[in-house]
Amino acid sequence: MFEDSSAKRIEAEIERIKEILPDAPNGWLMEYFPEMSQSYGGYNLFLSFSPEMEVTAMSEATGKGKTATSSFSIKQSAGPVLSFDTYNEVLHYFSDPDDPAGIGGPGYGLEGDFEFLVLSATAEEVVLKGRKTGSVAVMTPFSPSMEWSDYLDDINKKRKELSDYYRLKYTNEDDETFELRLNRRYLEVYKYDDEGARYSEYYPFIVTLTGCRFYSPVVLGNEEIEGLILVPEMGEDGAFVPTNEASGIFVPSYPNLNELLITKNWFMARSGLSPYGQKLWDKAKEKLDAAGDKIIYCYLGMATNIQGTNYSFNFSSQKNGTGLLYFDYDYIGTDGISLQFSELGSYYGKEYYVNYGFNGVIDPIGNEKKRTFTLTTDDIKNPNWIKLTDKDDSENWFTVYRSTIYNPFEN
Amino acid sequence: MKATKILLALSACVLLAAACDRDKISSESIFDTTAPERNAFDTWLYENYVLPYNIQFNYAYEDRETDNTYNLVPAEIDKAQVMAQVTKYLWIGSYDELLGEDFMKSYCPRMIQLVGSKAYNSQGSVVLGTAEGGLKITLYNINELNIKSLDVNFLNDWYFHTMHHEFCHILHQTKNYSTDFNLISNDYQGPSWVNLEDGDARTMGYITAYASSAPDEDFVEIISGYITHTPAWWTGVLASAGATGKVKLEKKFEIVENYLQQSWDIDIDKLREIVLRRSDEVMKMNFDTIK
Repeated sequence: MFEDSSAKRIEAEIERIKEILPDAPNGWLMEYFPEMSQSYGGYNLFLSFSPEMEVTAMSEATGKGKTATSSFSIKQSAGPVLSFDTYNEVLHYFSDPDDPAGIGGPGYGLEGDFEFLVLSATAEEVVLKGRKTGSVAVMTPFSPSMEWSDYLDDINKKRKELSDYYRLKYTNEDDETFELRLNRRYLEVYKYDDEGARYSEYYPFIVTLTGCRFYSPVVLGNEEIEGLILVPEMGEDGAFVPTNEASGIFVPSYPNLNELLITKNWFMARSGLSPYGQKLWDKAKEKLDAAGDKIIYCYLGMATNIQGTNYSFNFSSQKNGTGLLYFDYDYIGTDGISLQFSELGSYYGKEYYVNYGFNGVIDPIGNEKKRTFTLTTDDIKNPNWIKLTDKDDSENWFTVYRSTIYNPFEN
Repeated sequence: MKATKILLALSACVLLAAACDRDKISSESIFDTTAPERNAFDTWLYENYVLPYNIQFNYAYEDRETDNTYNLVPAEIDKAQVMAQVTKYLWIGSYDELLGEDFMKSYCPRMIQLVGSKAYNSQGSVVLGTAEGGLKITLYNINELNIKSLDVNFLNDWYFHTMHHEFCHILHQTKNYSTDFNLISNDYQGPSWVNLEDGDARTMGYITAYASSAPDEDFVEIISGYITHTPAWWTGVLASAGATGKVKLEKKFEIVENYLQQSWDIDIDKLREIVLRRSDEVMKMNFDTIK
């Protein structure tokens, strides 16, 4: 079947690779993904090989200011193996168990390979597979028209531009929408299983001159997205266009108003309440005054303590410090919410509930009866206030604020 | 019987005939017998390790020769060069001086593998070196060597101690020591040795915390500790060990001393003298000779 023995064929292949590598006039650009599940994303790595078996490297990780030279060899194993076998500060940064990047921890580091099986090699492209991780790295000759350091500058700039985006959504031609989160080195996609429970898929990527390229294409419905091109001028807030043919684009998404209410802290004040609520707060204030106490501030938000994490009415009293009263909540659509006191709280939460009329203070939020609210705001993308209008009780409504309001029972 | 023999003979002929139908065996060898390309360092290694001792000194990373369970990086070439010279002078040279060249030629490991990084264990300890079956020694953490200003204590703790330690493993793996040694201590710690400090270990009768991990380690730690430190150091160790610790250490040392003399004709005090003298000399050596 073959003209020659396998040993002779590997030898010939090794010689052929030894000629190809030094032949690129401006070296090679490698798209390198360390670690066996590529969880650290991809790095742009420049390599220049000499016929004397020396390699010089520069990378996105160690920066444009640093190059290092060391030796390499091409050995025979289960195929030709390209091995960077003496220490190179740029190359072995990805494998060093002393963890110079401070990411993987001692003994691990970025867990990158420095020995690669050569899957294929031509003057146009060399495809490598890491020996330990199995991650595929592709090298292409780098254009002589650009300096390595200029390319890294551009990559850094693009990375900064990408970091302006975090929440994204994609809608395909069947009107299916996917929520995604763009992290530094991977894209997280929210998916739902048969029972409706949410889980995440992670797609590591490498930054390119126009955006990013995924190690494996992102699967969204029937489509696979190979990479993204950032177009900041598109639409209101910019968009990402897939590099391959796809039916939609990626646009920034914003949290629903009810999500915003729950995930951030919102301050309350007497002046934000309806007259119904104000009457209840005034009663509580009488008791506080009688005790020589006052509330410094109070807000709705998540509180974590020894009892766990709970959505709470948080208050800070002059005499006793922090008190918490816990609430159960349910999202209704994108701008509705139901709230009700769960009858649990911290020590001082309970104290003030019983002794200082705080049962009335939280009544407008939802105490004996569960209350259902419709939410409105001044700016959905960056709200300064949210108004909660009680759907069943026209006398009850209140507004909560982003900024702290001191002496809320007087203001 | 005869029928069977004929049958066998016939089948052999048929098989041979079939074999003769296949390709002729090529006269070209698949093994490359041309001399490899050697740079200055390779040539120095050839002249100083391969020719005299038949030792393959791997300064470059060899995947097949390193443990895949660890994440490792290769040694820096400058540091590897210094290490190659230091190892020859301080370790091989010491035994050559005491016993003549034939000893090392016979018993030295056939391969020394350098690794640039440490090898981290899961309990947080690091591996300094390993010796395998008398054939190979691996030295880790070469990249931490500061070749511009050699630090004698660092060299001792990380390298010299380790080299002697690993070599002594090779010695006792070749000729075993008396099992009486194993009766002196009965509280070997296994992997929990990492929880001890050297001071505590000495009161228990172990020269270092690592010695408490197993009898073989105990044995070689005594030798490598003794010969890489001054006599005053050893006296200090015994003094700090308390009554019970001291007794155990002295009993163990006696077995060690006798073993070395009887099995290998090695006078441990003479070896220590040579090693210490060469340690001083190595500090003053010029390492720029390989270029």
